[in-house]
Amino acid sequence: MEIVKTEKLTFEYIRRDENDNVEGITTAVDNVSLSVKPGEFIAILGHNGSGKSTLAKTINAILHPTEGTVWVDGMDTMDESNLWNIRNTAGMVFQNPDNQIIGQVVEEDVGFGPENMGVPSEEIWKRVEESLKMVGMYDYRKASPNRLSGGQKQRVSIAGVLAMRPKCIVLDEPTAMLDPIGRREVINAVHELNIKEGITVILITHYMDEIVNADRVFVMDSGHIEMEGTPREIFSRVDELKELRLSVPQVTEVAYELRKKGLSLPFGILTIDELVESLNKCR
Amino acid sequence: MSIIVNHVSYSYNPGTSMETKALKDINLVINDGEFIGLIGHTGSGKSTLVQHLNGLVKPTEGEIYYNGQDIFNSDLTRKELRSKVGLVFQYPEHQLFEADVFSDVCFGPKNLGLSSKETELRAYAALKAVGIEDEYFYQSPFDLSGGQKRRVAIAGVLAMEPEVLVLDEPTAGLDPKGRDEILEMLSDIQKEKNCTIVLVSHSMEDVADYADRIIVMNKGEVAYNDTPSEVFKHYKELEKIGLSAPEVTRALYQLRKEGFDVNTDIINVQEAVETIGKCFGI
Repeated sequence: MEIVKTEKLTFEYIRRDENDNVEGITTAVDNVSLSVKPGEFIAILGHNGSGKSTLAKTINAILHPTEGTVWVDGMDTMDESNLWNIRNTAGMVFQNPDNQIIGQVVEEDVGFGPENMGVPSEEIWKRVEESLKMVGMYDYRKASPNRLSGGQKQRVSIAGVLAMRPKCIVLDEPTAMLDPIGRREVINAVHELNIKEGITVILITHYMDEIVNADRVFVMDSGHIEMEGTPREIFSRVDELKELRLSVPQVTEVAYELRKKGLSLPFGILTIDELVESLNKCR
Repeated sequence: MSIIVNHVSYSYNPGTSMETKALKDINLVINDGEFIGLIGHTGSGKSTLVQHLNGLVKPTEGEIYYNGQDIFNSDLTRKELRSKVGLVFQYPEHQLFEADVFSDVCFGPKNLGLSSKETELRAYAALKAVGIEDEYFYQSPFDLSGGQKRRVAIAGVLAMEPEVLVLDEPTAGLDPKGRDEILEMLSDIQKEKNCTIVLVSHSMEDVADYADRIIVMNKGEVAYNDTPSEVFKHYKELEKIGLSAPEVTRALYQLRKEGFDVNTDIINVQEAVETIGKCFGI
């Protein structure tokens, strides 16, 4: 069974004036059908305002579909009685770590989720330890979150979600506010979880270099899914991506342009090493 | 006409057990009309440094001169200084507050004591410079997209017609196209108004194409201060301090190592394609 499945999902933001009259309707997600298998690493790309965050929020049942259906591990998100099970199955990590950390001490913060679920305290401590180890933050368990770097805070947020033992994690631009080191820490931690723990990952981002290792990529534009494929397939469509206000890694673009000039380079070169290797073969 | 940073050190919480040295003996000259990229990873002191430039923070040691006047010890008033050196903070859109876009941009010049006509003229010019069309002028700034909000916030500082425009990570959180648009806009403004721009970023790709000079900060000190291609020669050292040269530049260095006759001073995709193409006679 799919861990996340949407069918003809549409979501509309309705703006109202003071008298509750409808002023305007914005369709943020428009007729999206997709399915994610357990253990997959999915990346969702799109420029600001393309609907990717709205889509994420419907998976976590923060938003409910205007039309269509979302199932999380077989549970319909419209069914109120599924709410807590859905949130325990698909955990969510947001952009700004400062908005999601509440504890005064790292380990307390990570324990907050399972505590709310009524997990016995011995079990909570076990989960806190495991979760912090998974993201490489165990050494900081007694630290105060406000003394951590952005990347460290974001990893604590992820541990907080992990402690609820979700099958799936949805990350909404988790690195947008981080510097290059922090970004790498977070992305590496997320890949580890996917590979070692088999947790399904849905990563929303507009940094191209972060999706190079994803299993599948969806590209969104004005609420639609415009492209779907492996990173290599997606990155071989440089011109289309540019039209969608996205960019590709610089080496990918260099290879693409050289190919256009007649060099026989393969499609979708993603790293410096690949570029150097293929150019060597051309000599 | 320039900014001189002379032996400036700054400590947070001096004299306490929490004392942190954010800046250590910084010496810099920022000339008129330059486009400077100020780069460093989180905690390197770059934001602390730019807050000195318009007198928001007072150095623990050393002096800052604006056009030859010590900014803390001369006739130059703080108000005058801030009208000359405009600082755009990180996420400036969080500072929007007025009911409509136009009033928000008027706030700065109005506070300079300008007539309402002059204020409105400046607000109009500033909004045009950042590419906000008339149809948005009387909308609430909160109904705009993220990129538009940021432009309006930048217009608010531009309307004060500063001689030096300092921007702290103006592209953070924007999508690639939005980022390019903001950088392109800044470059145009600089050419048109001939003002000085100091752009703070942690991304080399951001500044490589636009900056005349790059200043790299590390642990409160200036690590490099040179033209982009000179700074990127130290791509290995940059990596150690949590930064990296643009991907194309690193690729070209690796190709050079493999025996390709490519020019490694290149910092953008177009020129990289040309220099690699030459190796293959295309």
